[in-house]
Amino acid sequence: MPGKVLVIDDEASIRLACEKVLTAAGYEVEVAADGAEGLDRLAAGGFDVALVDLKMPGVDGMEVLRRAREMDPDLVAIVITGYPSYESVVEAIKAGAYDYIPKPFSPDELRTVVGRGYEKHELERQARMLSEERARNLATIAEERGRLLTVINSMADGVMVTDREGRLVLYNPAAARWLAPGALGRPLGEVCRWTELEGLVREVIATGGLRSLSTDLVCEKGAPTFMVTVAPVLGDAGPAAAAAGPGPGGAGPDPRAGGEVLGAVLVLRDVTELRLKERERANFMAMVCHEIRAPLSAIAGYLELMLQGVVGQEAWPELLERCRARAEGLVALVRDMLDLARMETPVRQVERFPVREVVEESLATLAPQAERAGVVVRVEAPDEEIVVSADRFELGRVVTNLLSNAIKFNRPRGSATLSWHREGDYLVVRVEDTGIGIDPRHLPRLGEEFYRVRDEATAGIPGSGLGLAIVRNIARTYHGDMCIRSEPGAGTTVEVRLACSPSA
Amino acid sequence: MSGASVRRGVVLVIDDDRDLLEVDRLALEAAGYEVHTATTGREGLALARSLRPDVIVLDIMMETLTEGFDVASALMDDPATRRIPVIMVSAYAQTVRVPDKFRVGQKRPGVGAGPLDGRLALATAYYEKPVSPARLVQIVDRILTR
Repeated sequence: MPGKVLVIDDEASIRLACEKVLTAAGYEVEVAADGAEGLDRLAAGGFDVALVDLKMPGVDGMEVLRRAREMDPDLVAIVITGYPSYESVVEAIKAGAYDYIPKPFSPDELRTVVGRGYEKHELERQARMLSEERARNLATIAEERGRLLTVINSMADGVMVTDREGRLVLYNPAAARWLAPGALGRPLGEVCRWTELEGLVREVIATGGLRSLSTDLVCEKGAPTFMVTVAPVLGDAGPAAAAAGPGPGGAGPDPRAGGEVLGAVLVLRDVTELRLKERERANFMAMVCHEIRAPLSAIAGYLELMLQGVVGQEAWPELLERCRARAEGLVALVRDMLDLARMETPVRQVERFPVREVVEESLATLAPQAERAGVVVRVEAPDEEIVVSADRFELGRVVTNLLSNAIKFNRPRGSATLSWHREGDYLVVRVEDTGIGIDPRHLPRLGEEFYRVRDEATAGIPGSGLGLAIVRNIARTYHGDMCIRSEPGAGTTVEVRLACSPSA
Repeated sequence: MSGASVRRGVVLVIDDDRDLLEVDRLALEAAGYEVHTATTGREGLALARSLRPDVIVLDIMMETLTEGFDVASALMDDPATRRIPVIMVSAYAQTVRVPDKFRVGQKRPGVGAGPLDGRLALATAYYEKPVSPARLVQIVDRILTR
């Protein structure tokens, strides 16, 4: 890109001469016949050098110099003067001129002076660009450090960093609650409530950064459980380390790529929920195994007794009937477990239907069971037909499970009564039985998965202990609840409330 | 029903699953034992004290996950029952930690540990269900013919 020069002179011959010489030298040249026009052109911008005649009518050269400097501090101004006096040159330079050229001047003189000015302008421009770029880089670095600190400080996990000697050099607010005031710079063992951390840090540093450690911290009973991961902080190991990616421990760079151990970074995470879930899942699995093993043991035991001739054939029908009952129990258990699994990823199909339809289906399913048990099932339907918005399967499961319990935990010639009604936005389903009742101490835990009353009265009654858990889960899904009242020896009433927009 | 006429000993089976009680009862009776059953720990303890059976077969998980261990402890603490061998069985997976004092039978399954410790006069053996009826008879036989 050629330099761009503005010539401001009231003498047309000078303007013409300058334009001719400078254009021939490769510059782009514009001209202005007086100070006002010159300032107008300068205001448009883009000039590298301005040649300004000091003596002009109207706005004189000094004024142009001052105003041009305000508009564009980088513009290189060269004054043209007919009578160069020491004073006028000093004044012009004070006003911002870079150089001067006395009239008359030769084309060579003009080219030299303008060339020098243009060069200066270019150098300044490049210097300014370089310094701007450096400033930008510094700003980026500052911003990144700030961002990194902001990220570390807003982490929910506690973060602490120590040097090689195990002295604390950085920690975030989440970690502060475990640290004594003024902890920075002091050995971790002195300032942290978890004294075992110091040993872990020493261990990680002692391995030369070869591995990370992760362990649950010892916490008081009932307090949150924290897991700490201690990873080495490695020095610059060159591009090899970066390319190697995370180490086998999952935290920090792969120390196998080399690099010096500078210290350790500790991340403390609240794993209370996670550990609780893990324990619950382990317990659930253990219960499932128990619930499957018991009927299988019974079936296998009966079959072996029969096959090995330990019991005579006259006793077989009874034992085979027991096998069938236990096999049915297993089938029901699997169904209940699938129901529970279904709760976790609901595939709900909500439609409007009369409650009566679901009730009729349940009654049909349970009729044989009720007949075997000698229990009369009564239905007290409301006068109005109640229509609800719900998943048929789920409402059916509530009715079936409640009625099934009322039949199972009943006595011969007892009864189970099903009724339902509207209460505002809620549908209330109630099942009342004349059964064995429930000891009050069991009431709070009924509805827990696999919780069953296990005593003389219930010992022969099959069931997975999941039926009420399923009902309770469904009730919660419909923003409702399950309420059990019972009198041992007299009977039990279970009421389930479901928000499912009931209407007549 | 070979040997049904021979009275070889008295066995008390404590289990809250009536079918498992029935299987054990049928198998042990056929082998010539007199069998009594209880469906709860409480009932079982009472029977153990009144009957003084030769062997007790005890389920671990009844009303609570570890009721069987409580029953075994109570048996050990009572001079009247502390010398009765106990065979513990459980359908519960290994997640229930077996208290160390019951672990003797793990090392020497089915063998009485009487001399080791007065408290461990219990010939404690611990088995995971299912224990087949024939196997149970074998275990009881071995304990009682020593």
